[in-house]
Amino acid sequence: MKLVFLANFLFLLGLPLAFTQATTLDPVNLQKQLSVLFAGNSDDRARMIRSLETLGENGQEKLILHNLLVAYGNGTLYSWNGEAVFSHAVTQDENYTKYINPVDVVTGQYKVSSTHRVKLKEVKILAADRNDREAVSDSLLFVDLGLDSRDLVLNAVQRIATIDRAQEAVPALEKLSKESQDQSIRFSTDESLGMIGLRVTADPASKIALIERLGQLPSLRALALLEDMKGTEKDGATLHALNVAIAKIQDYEGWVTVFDIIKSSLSSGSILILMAMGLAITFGMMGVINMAHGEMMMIGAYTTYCVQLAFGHTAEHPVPEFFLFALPLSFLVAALVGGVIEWLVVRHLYKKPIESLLATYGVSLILTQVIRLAFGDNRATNTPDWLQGAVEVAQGMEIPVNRFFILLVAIFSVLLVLFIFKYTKVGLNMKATMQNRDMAASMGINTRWIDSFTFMLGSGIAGIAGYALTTVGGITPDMGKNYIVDSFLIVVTGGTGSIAGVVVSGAGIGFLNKFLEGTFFGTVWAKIVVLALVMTFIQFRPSGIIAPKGRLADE
Amino acid sequence: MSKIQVRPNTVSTLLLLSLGGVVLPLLSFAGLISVELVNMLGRYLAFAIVSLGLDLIWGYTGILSLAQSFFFALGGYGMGIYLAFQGTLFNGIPEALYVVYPYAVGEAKGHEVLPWAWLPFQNFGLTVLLCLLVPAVIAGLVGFVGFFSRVKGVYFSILSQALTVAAVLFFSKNEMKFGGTNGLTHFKTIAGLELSDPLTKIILYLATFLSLVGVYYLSKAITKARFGRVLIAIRDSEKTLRFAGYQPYLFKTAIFAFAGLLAGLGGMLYTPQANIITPSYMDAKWSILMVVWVAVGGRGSLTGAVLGALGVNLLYNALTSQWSLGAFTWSPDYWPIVLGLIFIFIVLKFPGGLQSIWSQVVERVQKRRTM
Repeated sequence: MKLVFLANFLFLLGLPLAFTQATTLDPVNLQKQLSVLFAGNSDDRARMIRSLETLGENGQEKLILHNLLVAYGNGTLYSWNGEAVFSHAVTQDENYTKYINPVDVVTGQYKVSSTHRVKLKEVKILAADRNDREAVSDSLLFVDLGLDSRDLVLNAVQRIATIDRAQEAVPALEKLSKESQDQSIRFSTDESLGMIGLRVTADPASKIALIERLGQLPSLRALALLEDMKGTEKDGATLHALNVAIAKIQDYEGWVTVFDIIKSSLSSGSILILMAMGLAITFGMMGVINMAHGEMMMIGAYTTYCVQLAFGHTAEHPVPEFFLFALPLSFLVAALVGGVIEWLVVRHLYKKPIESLLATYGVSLILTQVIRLAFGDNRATNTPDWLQGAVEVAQGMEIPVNRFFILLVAIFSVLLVLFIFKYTKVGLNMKATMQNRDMAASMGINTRWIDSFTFMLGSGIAGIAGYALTTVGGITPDMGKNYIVDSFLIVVTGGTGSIAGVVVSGAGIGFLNKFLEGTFFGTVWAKIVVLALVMTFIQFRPSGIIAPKGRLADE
Repeated sequence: MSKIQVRPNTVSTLLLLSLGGVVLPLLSFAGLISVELVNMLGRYLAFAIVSLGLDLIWGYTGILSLAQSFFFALGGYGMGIYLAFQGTLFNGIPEALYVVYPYAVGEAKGHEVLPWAWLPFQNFGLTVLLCLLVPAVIAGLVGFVGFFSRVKGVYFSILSQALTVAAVLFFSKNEMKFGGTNGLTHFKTIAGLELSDPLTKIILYLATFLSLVGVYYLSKAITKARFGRVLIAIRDSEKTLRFAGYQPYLFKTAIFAFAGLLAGLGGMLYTPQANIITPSYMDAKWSILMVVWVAVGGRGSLTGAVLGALGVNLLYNALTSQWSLGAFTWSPDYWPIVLGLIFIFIVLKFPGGLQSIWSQVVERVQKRRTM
């Protein structure tokens, strides 16, 4: 039988199915209440939905009510044998007949068995109509206040301040404000209480107190409300308080903007540095224009994807360990492919940079197309859970974990390269070969092997860049093309052959790009202006930020 | 770098000229060969003009520019704007501009005026002039700035590629009023002639053919003159030339501007025959492909540049259609792999391109005769 999963709402909501424990919620009573949904008129239904808010004593029970309301809102609640049931999925057979498998709303267990099917036609779909929908979404917020899930509670606390029945939420919010362990929840609760208070208070003194409180927080969410009030406020003292509070909040907003620019420039800078680091070795030190460098990155990303497949990691069955194995493997595979390219093509072109540009562009065409034929056009890895989400450092200031991870990987690669060049024998040999090939050879260094190894190192670093990039987006066969021009510019700007130069120019260009993007220009204009600035810079300092000295400078 | 010029004898030159300039158009006019084939050849001949310009700066002077596609598209856009004016106008505004205006085609909005960059292209003569001059002047400026501060070989290539990337972004933006990523298309007439008419297609082919012949002999004259010898000297040792009292940057700027002009001419002739111009024609991969035409044909040889542009494009045409031979089915998907192999093979095994293969064969035959 062909199974087609049409809906799987619990999965979509990302909620754990925590039905297994016993609950004090009375199933019989609950079903009796729900029966209003089958037959009742609009008013009865609205009253019944509101009465659900008061049920449930702990997070577990509230979760049952939450799931009930969500299912009712989405139309994935069914009446079967006279009671309301869930179904994990709607399946379909070869004749396109749809089936559900009834699941108890309280215990979460199959009513009959895991393979049982009931024709969808034979059950009644319980779905909120237009009149019910607002009541359902409001009640959902009240229910959510009592949940255990931090994100849902936070969401409910913030959204409840704007609904019509907000005032009814005040006792629950005050309780949360005192008892919640989570700082963000306490903060948002204070904000919501202030905003609700302002909506109902007429007394100027308490109004001013609330405004001052919101300004002191300072509450970004209340800014729009305060500005609205400023438009209609007549009382002088209140108006003054409003102005002070708005100024305070706007000050804070400025800092949030600064934080955002720093954050996004660090994030884009670290990607640029990762990409350019490998190129600094192959282009900067060896003088090879490797147009296939972007494809080395692509191979790193596809290696990560293959490792995920090999470990069988999916969103439903997470095997997050794959991500640890993928790091060295993406380095190794990219380095090996780089080694093969070096052996077949690049070693013949060490003295001819322009020829190496053409030949490696050919290599990049072949690699892109081979991968496209093998894998199709678009793939995505499921990054492990611990790399998803964001950490809120202060109100309105969030650091996405995956971006932070890329920063760490960039730092790691820079340190790795520096370590190899400073403290290992092979690194020393590499430096010697790049600086004076003949002298190095006469000292007994096998320069042929060193060339090969250096090229492999550069390619491997690009592989790591590809590995890191899988955490922020899909992987495509031509993903490398987007970065190659930028990477070359960074290496040229930084000064060829200088690792420090690459770090400085990568971070600098990343910052410049995001700064212009966030302040004066749109995305495209910022990019054009950055390109123009870089080109102008090279006019005045053709050998880059950190210029090579001595013998290297003559080349 | 040694360069062996195979001097084509007068008979074969005349034969080629009459074949391309008289026989082919006549056959097509008589309906013996399809007009689509002539149109395709016309487009490839326009590429050959770009290729000649690139050969002058890369093959002869040693400057690898990755901005030729930009200059090509500048010429293409100039002609495209002219053609857009020849199409349907609404309230005096070409249809193509409505892509960037926030309302429907034909809706009257008095305050929207033609962008200033569009104004001169309403006149055919002025359009032709500008399609040549604008790329030449921009190329001249870029070249002057780069060569004056002595930006060296590969660095210049990377910078020119960055310029092209910036240009693609610039032309793709709707607010720049060049048609955004859709570019300009759906042209109807050129200088009063229907573009869909086979006769117009043959005329455009002939115009391209004659331009190519003219450009070929002009380029040949340049390379044979003292100026051309200075260019080769720049390629072989710029430092020596500078010590000899020359100012290489002036020569480099001049030839770079001329190559920009040729690219603009190619783009101008290409657009009406392809009936479209979009920012994707500026793309970095086009620039590199143009370099490959020259590399395949043989850098430092003008015949090679033309042969390369025609050869690579005809091969592209043959290999991007699906055909089968017995159990084997060729898929257009394999084309990038073939192209990549051509890149590598030419660079590693035949740095002189097709031209050198030919001259090697000739040499061998001659050797055998003398033995």
